[in-house]
Amino acid sequence: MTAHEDSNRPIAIDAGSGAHPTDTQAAPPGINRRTLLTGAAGLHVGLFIGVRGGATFLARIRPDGSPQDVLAQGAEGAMLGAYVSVRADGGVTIAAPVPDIGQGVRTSLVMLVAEELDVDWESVTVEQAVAGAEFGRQSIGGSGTMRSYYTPLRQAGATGRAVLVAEAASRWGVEASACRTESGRVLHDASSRSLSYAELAEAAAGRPLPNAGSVSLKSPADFRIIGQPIHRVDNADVVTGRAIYGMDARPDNLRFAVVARPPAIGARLQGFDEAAARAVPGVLELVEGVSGGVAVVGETTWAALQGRQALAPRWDTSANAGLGSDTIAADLQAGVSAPSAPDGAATSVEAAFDLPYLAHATMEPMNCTVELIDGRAIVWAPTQSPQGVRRGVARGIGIDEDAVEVRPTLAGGGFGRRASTDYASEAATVVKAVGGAIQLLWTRDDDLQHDSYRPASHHKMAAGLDDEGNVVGYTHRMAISSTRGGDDAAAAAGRRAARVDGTNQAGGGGPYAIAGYGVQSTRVRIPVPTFVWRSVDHSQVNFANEAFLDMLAHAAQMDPVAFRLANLSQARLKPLVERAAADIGWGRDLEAGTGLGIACFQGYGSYVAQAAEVTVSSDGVVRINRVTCAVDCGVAVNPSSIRAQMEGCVADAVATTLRAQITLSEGAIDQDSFGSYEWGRMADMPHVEVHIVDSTAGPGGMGELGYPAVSPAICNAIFAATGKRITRLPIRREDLAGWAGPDAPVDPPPPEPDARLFMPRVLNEAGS
Amino acid sequence: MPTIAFHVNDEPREVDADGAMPLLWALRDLLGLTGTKFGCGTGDCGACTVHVDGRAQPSCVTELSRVAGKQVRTIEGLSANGDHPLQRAWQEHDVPQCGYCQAGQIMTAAALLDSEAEVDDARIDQAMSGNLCRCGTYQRIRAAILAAAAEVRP
Repeated sequence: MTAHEDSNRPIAIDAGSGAHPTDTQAAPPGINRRTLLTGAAGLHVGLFIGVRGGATFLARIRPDGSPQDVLAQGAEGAMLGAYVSVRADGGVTIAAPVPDIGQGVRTSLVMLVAEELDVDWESVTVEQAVAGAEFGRQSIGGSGTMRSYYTPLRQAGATGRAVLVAEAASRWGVEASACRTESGRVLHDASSRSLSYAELAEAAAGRPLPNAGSVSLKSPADFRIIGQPIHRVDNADVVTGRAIYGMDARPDNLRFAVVARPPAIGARLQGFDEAAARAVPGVLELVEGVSGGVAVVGETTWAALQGRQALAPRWDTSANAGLGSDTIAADLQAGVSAPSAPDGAATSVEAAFDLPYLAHATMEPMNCTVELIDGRAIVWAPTQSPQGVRRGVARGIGIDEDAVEVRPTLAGGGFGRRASTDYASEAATVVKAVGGAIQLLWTRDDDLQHDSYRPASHHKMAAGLDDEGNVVGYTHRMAISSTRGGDDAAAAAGRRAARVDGTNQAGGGGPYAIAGYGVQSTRVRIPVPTFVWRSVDHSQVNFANEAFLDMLAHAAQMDPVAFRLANLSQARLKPLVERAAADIGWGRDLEAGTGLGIACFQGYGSYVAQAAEVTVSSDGVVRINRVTCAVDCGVAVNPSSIRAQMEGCVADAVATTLRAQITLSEGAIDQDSFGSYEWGRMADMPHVEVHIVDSTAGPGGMGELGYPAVSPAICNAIFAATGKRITRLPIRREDLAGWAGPDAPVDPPPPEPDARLFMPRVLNEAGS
Repeated sequence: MPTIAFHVNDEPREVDADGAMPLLWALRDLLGLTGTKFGCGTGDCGACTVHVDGRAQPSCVTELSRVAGKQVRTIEGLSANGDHPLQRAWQEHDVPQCGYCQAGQIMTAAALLDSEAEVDDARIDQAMSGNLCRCGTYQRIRAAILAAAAEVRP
């Protein structure tokens, strides 16, 4: 790791040796063209290798060159790029083009480049790319990062390898095809010669670059890095407190800002005690007009918080005084009519489900640091959208985007929240007013009460079964809260309208060969801001579908696993259902009060089945003991990271099944802390087992895959244990009323497992 | 403003600040020790956990005046070279996802291992109950604590 001398100092992480930057006050990670060209001592050569849409697009940065060709061709959103540099000491620096919010892309994306470049992982240093058109679309979300970058970043690495090989072959006067690479060296076995990449890099950078589409990529059988459970490159810094998150940005003469925010939706500021706020020691400035409130700038965060307290703002909260969780529930229930089961069905099944608003509640609250110097801004932001932050800050200050440099920091969680850039725009507004360097921070109550929430929803379901237990009709109508109204049916031709506020993703259809399976979505206009939350509306749609399917299975007097296998049409899901069931021990004898449940999900290009073992005490306390996950995400680039995503999704689902919800009273959010927005703790965490199917299919998304099936699996297990069907989350004690405990008979008794199905304990690892 | 003197990571430090200022903000904004994180400000999440005279406590609800003359230890001072058994175990189990809560998790776990030679699942559940992880790394945290405990056990 080499520190740069100017304010652009990047922090690089030595992936293998545990070496790390020692300057804890250094600016957060960031590289830009200038530092590439001039910054790092020992920088041997910088190659910027761009791949547009998986096809040909190459450019380079040379000591004498500027990247106009990149910018000229690199329309934002189209091009994906990688920056690779080979240092004199043989180390290789690779830029992570998008931010890491905990999903591990600073590790997994860089693995792709390193694999095809053919260097040892231990020689790799990771730097974070700044926001810039040359890196293509840098926003992260929709579990799309690995899917978008898998091929282009491999092509980028292979392109770097190709020019290094070409240079060596030229020096030796041999055919490039007679050479091979290994561990950062080019070898010509016939003559027993070899050269290190460091020896070749400078001259290689002057060679013509091959067409990205023409470079050959490794066969999966030859992968040495992809597929390994490689640990996060930031671990050493995280465990020692050196890792730099947004809040840790410390430009010189930094001042701190918090905002007094409207206490209810649509509340209007009527006045505040300016003198009292200014009298607080350390309070420096007040800025009105920040998100409908007043920003207080202080010498320290504490001074700003004390100033906000003293401000004692007065609000008109009449706009939504009649809005509460009860009125919202009524509006949602009225938003869709109850479907009826098809005529002639031997058995009709109907149900309704209700799901609440959820806050993102990232561990690191929203914050953004902006330093304004001579009309230019440097921004440190924990964000899912570096380029969105760049736009927002430029607009907020009133300067060109070219005058804004965004350095994405590590982010303390995202879950969709950091795809919004409101907090960056607020920081820009404040810095425009007061100049200098400002860190704007949301407190936890700000975060919980001013989020854009996972929408509340109401679901009405009906289906019929024939005499043999076949599903002969299926209707799922969802009313989902939105600040914009409208019927998704009208938008069937074009999904754009339905997704206008980002809350809808699940459409019709699905993995089952059941006519009508899926969802018909109607957005009900409610003035509670909503936005994407981990797995978007799959979090609601799949809960209702998979819980309802469980009801159908019982109505058909079929085992829930057998029922799914009988109705699934998605071939990649069937072995996963079998595997998750086998791993949980489906069909075994259980203590009274303990039950097993299963559910599955396909989305984001991936597939998962999850089974839960749950114990319900006689006083209605639900304990989730184990969750088994069988995952098919195509090629498993980093199994440790994939398991982590599964564990995290299970933890989220446990929290939202048992406790977490956002409610409203008189137009205001009721929850203001982790005391009232109760997330899962250590003792709540079930044992999670993850089986990853061996696959060479293209990678699917992982960040959201693990959430949508867990809550239904848990609730299906509760039904198996108690005979109580959970139809709303989070579970209330009264929803288990009548469950008299493990000694009580379960009504109705769960069907006997199908002995023919259950179950070889170990299935084919290949998942075929 | 009064001057408040205490030790941070074995170094004597003085800050001129309101005695009601939470230790968290003194560490972060006055002393430049940003390894201790802000998560809630109400003592509900544990992200800001430090040791005061060897006991783990949330620095966001610990007033500066209460640490005068005391020994404060932050994640930056847990070990000289980042090699405390817990710091190594955390890396060996690839615990962090976003990583933001982990300094607080480690400081709580370190206080636990300092005070007790034997820990089990139930004790970990109890001792770690004040530390929230929004990414859901609990299973790996548990494994890392058990591994480190096995190493330090006399």
